[in-house]
Amino acid sequence: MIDRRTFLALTGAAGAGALITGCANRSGSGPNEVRLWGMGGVEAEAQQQIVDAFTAENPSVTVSQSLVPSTGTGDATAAITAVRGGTAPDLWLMDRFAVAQYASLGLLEPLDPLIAQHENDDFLDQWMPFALNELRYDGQIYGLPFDTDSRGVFYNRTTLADSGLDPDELDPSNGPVTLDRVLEMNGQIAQEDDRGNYTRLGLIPWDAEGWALTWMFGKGAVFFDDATCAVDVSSDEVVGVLDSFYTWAREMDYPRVDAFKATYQPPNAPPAQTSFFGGQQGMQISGPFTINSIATYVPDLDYGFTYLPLWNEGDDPYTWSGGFSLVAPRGSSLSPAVWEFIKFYCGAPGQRIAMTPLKKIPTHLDVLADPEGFDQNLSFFADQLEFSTSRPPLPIGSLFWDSLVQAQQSVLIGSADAQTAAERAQARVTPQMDLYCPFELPPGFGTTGA
Amino acid sequence: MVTATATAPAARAVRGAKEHRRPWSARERRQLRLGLLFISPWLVGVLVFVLYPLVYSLVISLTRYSGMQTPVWVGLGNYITAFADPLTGISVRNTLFYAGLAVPIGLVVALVLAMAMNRNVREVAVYRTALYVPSLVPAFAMSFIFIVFVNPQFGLFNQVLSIFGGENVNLLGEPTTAKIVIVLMAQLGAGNAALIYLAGLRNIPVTLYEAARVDGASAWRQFRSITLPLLSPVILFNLITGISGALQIFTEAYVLTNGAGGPDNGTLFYMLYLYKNAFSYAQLGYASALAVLLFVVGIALAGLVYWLSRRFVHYDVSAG
Repeated sequence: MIDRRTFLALTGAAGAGALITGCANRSGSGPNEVRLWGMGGVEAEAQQQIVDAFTAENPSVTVSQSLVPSTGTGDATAAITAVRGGTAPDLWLMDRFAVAQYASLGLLEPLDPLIAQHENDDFLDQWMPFALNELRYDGQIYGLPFDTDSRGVFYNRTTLADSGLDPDELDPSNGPVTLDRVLEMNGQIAQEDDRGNYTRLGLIPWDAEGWALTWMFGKGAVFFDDATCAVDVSSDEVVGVLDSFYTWAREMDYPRVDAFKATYQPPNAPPAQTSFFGGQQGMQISGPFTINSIATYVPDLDYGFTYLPLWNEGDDPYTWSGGFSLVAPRGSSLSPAVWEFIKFYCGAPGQRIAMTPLKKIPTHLDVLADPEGFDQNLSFFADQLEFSTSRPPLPIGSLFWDSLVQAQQSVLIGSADAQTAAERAQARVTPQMDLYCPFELPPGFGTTGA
Repeated sequence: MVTATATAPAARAVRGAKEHRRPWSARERRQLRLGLLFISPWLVGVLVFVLYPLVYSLVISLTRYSGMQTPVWVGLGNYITAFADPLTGISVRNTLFYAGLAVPIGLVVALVLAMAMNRNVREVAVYRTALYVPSLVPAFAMSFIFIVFVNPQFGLFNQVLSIFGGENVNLLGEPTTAKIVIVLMAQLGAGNAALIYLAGLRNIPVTLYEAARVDGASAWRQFRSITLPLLSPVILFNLITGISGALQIFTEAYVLTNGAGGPDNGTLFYMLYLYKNAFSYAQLGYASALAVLLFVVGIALAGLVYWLSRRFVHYDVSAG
């Protein structure tokens, strides 16, 4: 029979042991282990194919996968906690827009030493320069690019035809449509019930990927000046777009449009429940990722896609591109196995395996040039890379993004005019950017030409 | 012996101050050790998870710190920034708006629930369970339920509105109504406070009500002159915990707005702004300063309520 003293001593020792074990940093992966934070949901299967192909070639390496989504807006909670707790993965699939910010915080390992150790000088020439530029910070490279995209207008052919419009008018072979024409079509598509609620709408300019930023690219806005190390979110182009948003929101009656969206696509609705898929919304600004969703959730939808609307007749077409990359959080083992895996995943083998099922555009130049390399239904979006651009990889990326989104919301709701909203955004970003100056964007930034 | 000689003057001084105190016996010392051992999980918990983060946060609030790199000392810079930051002002106003509505409404709703739970009927256990169950639903899940509840077309609110022919309204699309939705949502968690009220109600001697009835007191008079005064310590407790909870409102706004605090910063509550600063903008120093300010304000408000409570709280029930 155990006496009370022994029981207490044992309990105390066990408690102390648990505390010490719990607090101890977990050591990194073994030499033949790769821990990956990667894709989930419908995309997990494609990633599994990459992993299977890799382990078939490298049977001694074990790849363990977890789903830890990275948010493009830079919520670094998971990464900070994991890195500080010593449980960071070896590799993380991450939105490229957030990489510069995470790198500036010291959350990521630069890959330059590995490239110098294992590869030739022309190693990085395999990928599109713009995608690599999104991964550079302070002269170093912090990941390898995976996929990319571009933006355009999706249209529901049935809804357009039901509204008395010819859906073929929007065929990309006819070139981009003008904004005026889209607004005209909007008038023909919109329907209301007897209580004044919208039951059908055309293009809601600010919906989905119709960020103010998207339209600002169309006006040629430049958000950062290397010479002055200044973020500019109050230029004439920015104010011009916000002003248009203000006007459109009043003309379309923002509360009613908002009620329409919340009806057919409430916040946090499942991915299959959108007003565009449901046929209530005739047009929507989005990217090739929508093609994947349509194939998964509404395969019978009769739809098409075209260029973003031009501000004025005769303007050049425009769009912008983003995408994901594999990065190595601080604490990654950076072992030869990890390096082989990142090269496989983001290189030609991985992109060849995954781009078609994922319906994404490759960033690897060989795969992009290969008709078998990705779903050719996406070729319109791939062709747009000739003139696309990307968001500036700033160390204050999430603040920059939030400030613009906030300005957009203010003008839509009508709590501020365009000038005031832009000035408020400027007042938020300037002091924070100053902390990182001097700073320059990577050379050649903003040019996506393949 | 040498030790004894060296400590003798100190020992004499202590004896002088507390003559009656004799040294602890071996048995008492053993009991102290055992006692400390028994409360050690709590002690370790407070030291590691409360005191250490509190002090750490205080120190970090005086620095610029991203969470990874070496903190840079900025003195009171973060506090000065906090008072000048327009978004901090907006988040404070939003939080006070929420607290100003949610706390008093919550007190009343919980009291009504408690009185319903206290009815002298046979199925009271069923009622108590039914009234308490919503409090068990996590705020996260409740937020999703409310998104459906306020849906402009299919939600209950707009269904009622449609009877009068009004246009559908997106309550989550307007800054003020979005806050009010969150206030209403909070009331579904009133069961916890109601249970505390219930305990207080059960503690009031039935003889007082019997005597009042004999004297011809109406139900309202009994409530005002017996229930309320004797329940006042419980009301005070619920008031203080209610204020503390309201100042830390976070989850509902985070879920309803995907962490953005929209529309137009309408649900950017103080804790949400603090969180965004810490983890989206990597300004842990600034976020810590905001946390310290919240702590100070929370303590001050609790102190103020406690001080004011001397006017309305009666502690007589325990003596009765």
